[in-house]
Amino acid sequence: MNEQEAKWALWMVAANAGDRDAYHRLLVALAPLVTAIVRHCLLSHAQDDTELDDIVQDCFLTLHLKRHLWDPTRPLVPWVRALATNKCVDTLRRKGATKTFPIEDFGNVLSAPDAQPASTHSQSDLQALVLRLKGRSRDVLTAVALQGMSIKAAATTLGLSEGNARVALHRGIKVLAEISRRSRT
Amino acid sequence: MRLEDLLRTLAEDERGASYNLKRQLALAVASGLLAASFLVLTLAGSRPDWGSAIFAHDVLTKVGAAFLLVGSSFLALREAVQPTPISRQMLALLWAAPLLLLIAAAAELLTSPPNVWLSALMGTHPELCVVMVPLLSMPSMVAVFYVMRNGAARSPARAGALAGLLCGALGASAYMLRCTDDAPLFVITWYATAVIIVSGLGAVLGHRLLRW
Repeated sequence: MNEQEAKWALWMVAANAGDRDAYHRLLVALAPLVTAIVRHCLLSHAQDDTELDDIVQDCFLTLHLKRHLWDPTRPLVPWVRALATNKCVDTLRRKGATKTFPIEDFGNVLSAPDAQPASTHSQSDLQALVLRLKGRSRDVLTAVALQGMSIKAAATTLGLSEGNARVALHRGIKVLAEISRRSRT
Repeated sequence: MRLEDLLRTLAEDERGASYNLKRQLALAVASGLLAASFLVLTLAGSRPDWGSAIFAHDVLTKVGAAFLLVGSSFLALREAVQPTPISRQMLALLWAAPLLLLIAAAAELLTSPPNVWLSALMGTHPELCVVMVPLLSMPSMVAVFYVMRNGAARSPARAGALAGLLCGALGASAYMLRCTDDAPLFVITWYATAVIIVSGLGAVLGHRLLRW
């Protein structure tokens, strides 16, 4: 285990003890690693990376909800790698036989490409799911995740106590992960 | 949604992760065993001859095999709820109980005349064993699967099968409070069948319930 991984493990320990800043630092630091893992997974299953961003976000949702599982006596990176790889493989398996074919093969049957169809799906995926939530969870997640507010600001704006806003946020994240999991079947 | 927005949102949700799945699994096992024992003792009662049975080799082997299976499958299950692979040592440990029973059954075949083999194999109530052990494992199944939904099993079906093995062993342990069929040939046939049934059920349930 190198120095950086040791540092990450310490951040994770601090995070599991409730240190939000350490947790945020850790997630940001893990982003390139998780992206690389998912890209590698897609490549080894002969998939292009149109869904890369979605799967990476899914991995982080899962990591967040399963972080209590990590055993502090074991190295963190192999655990994150296993989690992300499993998530990615499972997502691909759920998509099942929907193989992707290179578009050049269909040049004679497709009309001229419309303006940018590809990015709509990827960009809006989690966003669309947030908008499918109900009640407070939707309000708080919209404020925090989509409008960039802090939880305190969101609570004030929505007229909630910070505690209630956090409860709503947590419920929303769990539901989000659940819908995201089901929507891929 | 941009990744950085998601990460910031997740960080806002950090309030400390205090859930300890290992401890919850241990609690599920303890409460499952207690519930099954309570069911046996109130519905059927204890076997009357514990005072002498406790010293009989066959009884010690039977109970020992059940405890070995409870212990080894519990240790393996603790790893199976993780996304990382189960270590080889843990999987190897699962052979302890079957090996003990195989040796005991082989010894029984070698030391007893062939004309008693069949009666040893059939005992008095094989059908009760095959029905009661799975029934008695149900309280543990409910508790263990409830806890395992918080896991992230690398292979949900395999984790489910291990959970079934554990719960089957717990059901068997409870049924042993009552059962007076102690011959190793009986145990390796009927108890094993019952435990394998529960394990198979666990695999199916795991595949359905433990996806994440």
